[in-house]
Amino acid sequence: MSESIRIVMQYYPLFLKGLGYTLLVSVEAIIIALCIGTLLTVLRMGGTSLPNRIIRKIVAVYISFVRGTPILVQIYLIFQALSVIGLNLSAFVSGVIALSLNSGGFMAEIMRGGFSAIPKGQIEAAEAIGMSKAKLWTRIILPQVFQIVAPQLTSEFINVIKVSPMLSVLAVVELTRTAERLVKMTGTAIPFYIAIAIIYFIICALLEELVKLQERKRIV
Amino acid sequence: MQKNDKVVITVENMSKRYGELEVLKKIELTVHEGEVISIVGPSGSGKSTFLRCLNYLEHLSGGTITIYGNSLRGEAEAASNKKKNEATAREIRKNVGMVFQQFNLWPHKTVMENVIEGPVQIKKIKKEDAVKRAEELLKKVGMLEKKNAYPTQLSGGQQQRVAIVRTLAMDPQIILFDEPTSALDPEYVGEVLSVMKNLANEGMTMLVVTHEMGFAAEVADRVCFMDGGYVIEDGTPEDVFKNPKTDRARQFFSKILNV
Repeated sequence: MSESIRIVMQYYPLFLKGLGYTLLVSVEAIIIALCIGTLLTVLRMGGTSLPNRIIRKIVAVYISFVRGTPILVQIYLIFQALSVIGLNLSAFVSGVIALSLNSGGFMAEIMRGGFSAIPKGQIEAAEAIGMSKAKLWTRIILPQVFQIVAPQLTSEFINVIKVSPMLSVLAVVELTRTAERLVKMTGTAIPFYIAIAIIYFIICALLEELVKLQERKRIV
Repeated sequence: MQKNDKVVITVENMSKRYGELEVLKKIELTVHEGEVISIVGPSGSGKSTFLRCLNYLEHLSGGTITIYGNSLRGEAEAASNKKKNEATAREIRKNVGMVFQQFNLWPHKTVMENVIEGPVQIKKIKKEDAVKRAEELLKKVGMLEKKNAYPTQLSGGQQQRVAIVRTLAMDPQIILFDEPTSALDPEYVGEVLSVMKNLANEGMTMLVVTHEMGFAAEVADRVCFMDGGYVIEDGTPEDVFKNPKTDRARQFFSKILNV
């Protein structure tokens, strides 16, 4: 036992670096995915005119593609596709893009649920005082959507953190890849895997607590 | 019994269709400044739809609505009318406020934030000035002490009083009331009606879709009775309630007024 701890502690700077990459990838992906999710939500809630219906269809196809194919396939596909169109991006950037595109689709679906929970009358009340479409979204609709779906969005944030090890296939040296390397280097496996499991668990648990705290504040 | 000769709303031959179903037919109405008009009639007669056409929450199919010189035109008549109407609606909404049956306060904002949202965001009034004015208006309806409450912490009557203040804060020339007391518990109806009565006495032009015949009789200058998408009676409360011209209106009032 103490031997295990010792061997893990011996490599803690590498873990820190791996953790840094995991957090960097996840936070970037989450922020971009939030933007994508919001954009898709706004796009698919347009009126009934022909262009709006076409946009809605495209968004729907995108979302079902993202949800209906393995994330690993999406990661490979994005990486290859980006280099085919001449964008020679690093594995890190390509990985962040793949995670963002994936999670953005899920977030759009979550946010649609929040949108449909807003009574139509509130939107009419905003229209009746002459509010513009942009203000209607940024001041009335989106703040409420985020409030309503905060718990589901957090689950999705956690999800992003939990799929980030997939990027190790692109040789992004995040936490899991770091552990793999150490396992190969030292010939010991279990202590390293336990160590990263604990780290992932702590991050995700903290995130969940943060949301609970916020919810409690809102009720009071 | 118009209070002023200035015409502020003219509705000419207005119609509204949903597909094949025509819910408003050949509506004609002239409203003078300061008039209080109650629109009454059975459910499904088109009262609320008519009111909502006036500020373009519903889109008219035929005819014309002119409010302070801005005209909305029937969208079934020319394809280009919709685009023009959208621009016109923005102008109309500057002069026309609306109070809803379900209050429709924004639940993520406090009472004060609900009231100053329009003045600050749309009219670009300085926040301190908007707050000061909001406080005056909230005081008038007895809601000042609740300015930091959220809508869900208020009773229906309180929410509706705040909703009226939110509308007043935009300084409208005309206010449309869409069954403002229908969603309230009976004990809260009086407080909302009394706020509306005060507004009427101050000379606000008001169109009120309501089932409150007492309010219509006491406060309204005119009563319009709607049935089947037509305005079939239009006169003083006295005339319409006591000597309706149509059998349909007579039947309706005999049922309602004797209860």
